[in-house]
Parts: sequence; structure tokens; C-alpha cells
Amino acid sequence: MAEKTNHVLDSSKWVEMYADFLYNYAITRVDNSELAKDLVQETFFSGLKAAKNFKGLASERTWLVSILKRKIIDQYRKMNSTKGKAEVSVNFYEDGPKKGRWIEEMVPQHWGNEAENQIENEELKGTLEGCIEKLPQKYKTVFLLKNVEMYETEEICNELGITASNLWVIIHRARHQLRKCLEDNWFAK
Amino acid sequence: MSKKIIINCEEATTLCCKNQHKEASFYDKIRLGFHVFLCKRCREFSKQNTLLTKIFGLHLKKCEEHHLSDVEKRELQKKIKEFDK
Repeated sequence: MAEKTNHVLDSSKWVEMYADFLYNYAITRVDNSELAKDLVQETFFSGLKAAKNFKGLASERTWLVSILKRKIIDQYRKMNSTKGKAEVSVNFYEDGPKKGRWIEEMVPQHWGNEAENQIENEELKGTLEGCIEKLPQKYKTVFLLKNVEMYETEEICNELGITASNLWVIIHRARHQLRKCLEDNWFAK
Repeated sequence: MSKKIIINCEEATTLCCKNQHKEASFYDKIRLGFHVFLCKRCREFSKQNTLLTKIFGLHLKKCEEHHLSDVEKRELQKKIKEFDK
């Protein structure tokens, strides 16, 4: 019977072969180079500790990525508990007879008829980036995964350990905050 | 979110965002359209939200590849070796 070729681990080549890949993977999700570096290091350490459990069914890279993914989820949960939702502005009445209606100061203002013609301006990019910087970490992570990395909703939910309705609440609030920020810093100017 | 056809502004703007990502269902689009037809504020939001999507498409590009420096890699390799002893 032909023996199935199993993958083997060779930790002496890990850094050379996977460090950049894992680092890239981490940095797009945690958006902080020091933290990303730590996560890569911890991934390798956990990999060494768990090496005896490696069955060789997946490639070394896939296996390391799966370890890193769990670390990112843990990291994300930590961010969740330390940074509450208080950091995004509230746009709608939360209870009472006006529940779900716009709070007056948050109502979108008219951006003027020229708004559409201003969007290709390169300076808008800087303003937008400034607005994204101001988002709380978890909003920023989800927003960037969705809008820059173009991940599927399901993928983001699996990776970050959140539900689809959590995701839409986050995307919704992030877009509200960015809308208001661009209104104040670009369109109303 | 409720399944009702009449939704409030918060629900409408949530569906509006979902719609921007092309993930709103047919029913969602109908109740969103109905709300926006009657609500001037959400109509304005919806218009601006579409513009936001365009802005994101124009100005948010995947950033360049990140690399660890050779020094960082050597350090990391050393730590792995020590850890593995």
C-alpha cells in the first residue's frame, strides 16, 4: 500500500520561510507592528510546544497560520474587553419614544452639489486616513478587513469570533463615524 | 433586527450599509426603500453612504507588503532555538 506523504515540521527553517507571511497576515489584522511581531513570535513558540501533536495532515504553513489565527482572535477579544463601545458616538436614541430615531446633532447635513466632484482629490485620501485612525481598534480592524482586504462576512466572523449581526453593527457604526468625520473635515469645509 | 416592514432610522441605516456591501436581501431592500422614500434624513444618509463606498474604492488600497528586517529575523530565529532546547 502506498504510504501517504505526510508533512513534517522543521523549525530551523520557520523564520526564513514563514516569518514575513505570518507577519503580513498579523499586521493587516491587528494594525500594530510591535504587536504583530509578538504574535508571530508567540505563534512559533506555540508551534514548538505543540509540535508533537502535529499530525502532518496540513502543510506546515497552514498549521502555523491556524495557530496565529487563534492568537489574533484572543487578541481581538482582549481589545473588546478593554475598549468598550463607548468610544463611538451614538447616532440614534437608545430608548424612549424616540428609540431608533436620529439624534439631532448627528443628522447628515447636505454636502453641497459639488460633493461628487471632490472625491477624486488626492487630499481626501489623507483626510479619510485620519478619520479611520480615529476609529476604535476593533471597528478599524473589521472595517479594514471588509473594505480593504475585501474579506467575506463569514470569513471575518470566523476569524474574529463574532456573529454576522455583530459585524453589521460594527460596520454600521464605523460608517456613521467616518461619514460624520468626513462631513466635518472635508465636505462642510 | 426585527422582520417588520416598518423600520426605524437606525435599522434603515444598518440595512443601507449592508446594501452598500451587496449583502442586503430582497426583503431588506424593499423595507429600506420604503423607509427612505418617507424619511428625508435617511435619504440624505443613503446618498452619502453611496458616495462613501465610492470614496473607499478610490482611496483605500491594500497597503504594500510588510517585511521583518534581517536583524529581526535573526533575533527571532535565535529565540526559537533557545526555546526549543
